[in-house]
Amino acid sequence: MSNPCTGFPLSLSFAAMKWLPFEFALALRYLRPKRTSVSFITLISVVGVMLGVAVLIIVMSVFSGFHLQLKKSFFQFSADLTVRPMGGPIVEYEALADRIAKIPGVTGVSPIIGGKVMIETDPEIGAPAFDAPVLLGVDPDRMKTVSQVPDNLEAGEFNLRGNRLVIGYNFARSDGEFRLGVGDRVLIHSPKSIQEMRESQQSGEELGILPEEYIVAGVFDAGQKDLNDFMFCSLYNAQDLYGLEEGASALWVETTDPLELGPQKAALRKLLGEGYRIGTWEDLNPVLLAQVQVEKMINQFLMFFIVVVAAFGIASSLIIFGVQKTKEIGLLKALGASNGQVSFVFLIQSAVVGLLGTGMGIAMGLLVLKYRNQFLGFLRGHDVELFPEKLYGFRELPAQVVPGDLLWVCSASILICLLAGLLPAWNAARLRPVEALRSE
Amino acid sequence: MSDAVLKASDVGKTYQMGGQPLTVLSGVDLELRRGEFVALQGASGSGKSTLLQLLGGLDAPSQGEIIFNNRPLRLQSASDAAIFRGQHVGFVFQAYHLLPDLDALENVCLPAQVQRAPQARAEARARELLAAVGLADRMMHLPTELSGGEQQRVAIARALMNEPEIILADEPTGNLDTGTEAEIIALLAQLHRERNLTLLVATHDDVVAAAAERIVRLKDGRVAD
Repeated sequence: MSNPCTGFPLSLSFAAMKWLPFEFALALRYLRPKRTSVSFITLISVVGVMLGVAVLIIVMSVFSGFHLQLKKSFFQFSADLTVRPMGGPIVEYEALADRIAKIPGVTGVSPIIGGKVMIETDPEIGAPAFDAPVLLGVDPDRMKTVSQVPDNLEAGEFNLRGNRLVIGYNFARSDGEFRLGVGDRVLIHSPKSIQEMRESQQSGEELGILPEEYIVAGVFDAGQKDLNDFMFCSLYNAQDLYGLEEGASALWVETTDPLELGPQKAALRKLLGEGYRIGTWEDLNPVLLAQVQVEKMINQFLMFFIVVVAAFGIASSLIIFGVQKTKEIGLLKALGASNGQVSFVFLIQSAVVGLLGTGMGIAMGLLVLKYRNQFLGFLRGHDVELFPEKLYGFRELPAQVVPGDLLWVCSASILICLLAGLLPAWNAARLRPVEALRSE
Repeated sequence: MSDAVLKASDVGKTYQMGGQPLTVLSGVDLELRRGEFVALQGASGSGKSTLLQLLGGLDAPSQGEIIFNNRPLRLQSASDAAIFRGQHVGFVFQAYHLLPDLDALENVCLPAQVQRAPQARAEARARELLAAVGLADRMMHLPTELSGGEQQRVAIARALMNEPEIILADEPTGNLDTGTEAEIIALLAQLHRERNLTLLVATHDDVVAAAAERIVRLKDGRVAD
């Protein structure tokens, strides 16, 4: 649509901007001159801010997603709280579990026995592989009330009857060392049997205890590399392997809100007294959780410099622009424009560049985040691995767009762009009209 | 009370050049009466442009005072000077100084927009002025699409936009060929007659000066007797 008075697109016409002060109209015209479709300097400035904002949003969202995924995988894998006695096993765990289950906000309680065992694979072809994973003994029915592992199996079923095992994905990976599948045999040497063999050797007997033979019944994927190193067997078998007879080493307690555990912890403390240690899902790997948070902050800090560099680009292009427009500034002043009006032309330009760049940066950032895994898959297809699963522990790149982070990035970016316009605006304001008109 | 719109009384201007004082104007007395067309003539470096700048509030005198409508012009701040220029003075420059990104109509509208005048009224007046300077069919053209003479006509229309009390023209034909120079002079004379403009034109050209009602000659920074 054209303006009949001026003949150029209504959106950019001076006359069409009757409601705008002339500073806005002039600034917009400088950003999109009538002689060309768009000012090259404007384009470069906007692209600079756009890239800075997009990269910042992508990095922050990936780290937020990484952190969230990590937390989720932790509290989906285990219960929210762990009750562990200070010394010895919990013998009357059923009775204690019933009492804990009555605490408001507690949705499930499950006994657990955990410890390291030595495993040996028994492949039909090739040499056996060895490892020493943590084997958790659980009651499958109660386990379902505290963990999502039984409901999220990659293969098989969560069946721990007899000598059956459910193993983490790390033992089943086709590119891994173990390559176990449902139905495969696994030999387990328990600490108890190893200790018994050593004691018999010391007493001069040659007691040989054969490893327990287990069959893989299911494979779980907890969504996080460290958690996929676990194995599950029945509580009964674990009692035998660790020599706990009728006891359990801890109770897993599930609550309604894993991020707000204060009331349940206080109630447990009151119920159990000082003889128990109460841990949370964060204790599964506190170092990793803290590390991700710190990495997010460090990356945020580093990536922020991209926006700062982009702002320097705006400042330098506006300073050059100011020099190029010296005579026009002088003319505006000769026509009666005040220092403030002339400054505003520059500030508006930097604000518009900031707003456009930030808006486009957000759009670009969100678009890249939406198609991140397709993009990574495409690169993987061309032998480029940006986020190796072995290093980061996730099979897909997680991302979480936090509105607070977006707000922070937008505000900081626009503010920096405005600050970038201050120096050129001040330069323009202090130009004396006579000198400006005389300049070459 | 005098009929003078603008008056220079014992006006002088001294610049500091490389730490040394350089006096460009000294003890200049000049009176510009309402509706008068005056040519300010002098050789290059005689101080014509400087005097125009002082009279138009673009610069401040080192000595003496400028009297506007019988009151000493006291421009205490850049803002005061901007208001004075915007409301009372129209400038025409040798180099036209049109904004290259605005078309003829927008360039003419600019002084009114700076003064926050209603857009519709400003545009109507700009159209009328462009028609008056013979550019009714060139309103949407950018300065680069206009000849030198046409650009100067746009600049003249722009100078008239806010209905200033004085038009100060600094070598308005300095960049033009002889034929175009005659057209611009004729246009200025015509506008002066039709609109009772108060016009002070600085020129070193006798042809331009001949069109004026009165000639004031500057020599070495002083009004020559």
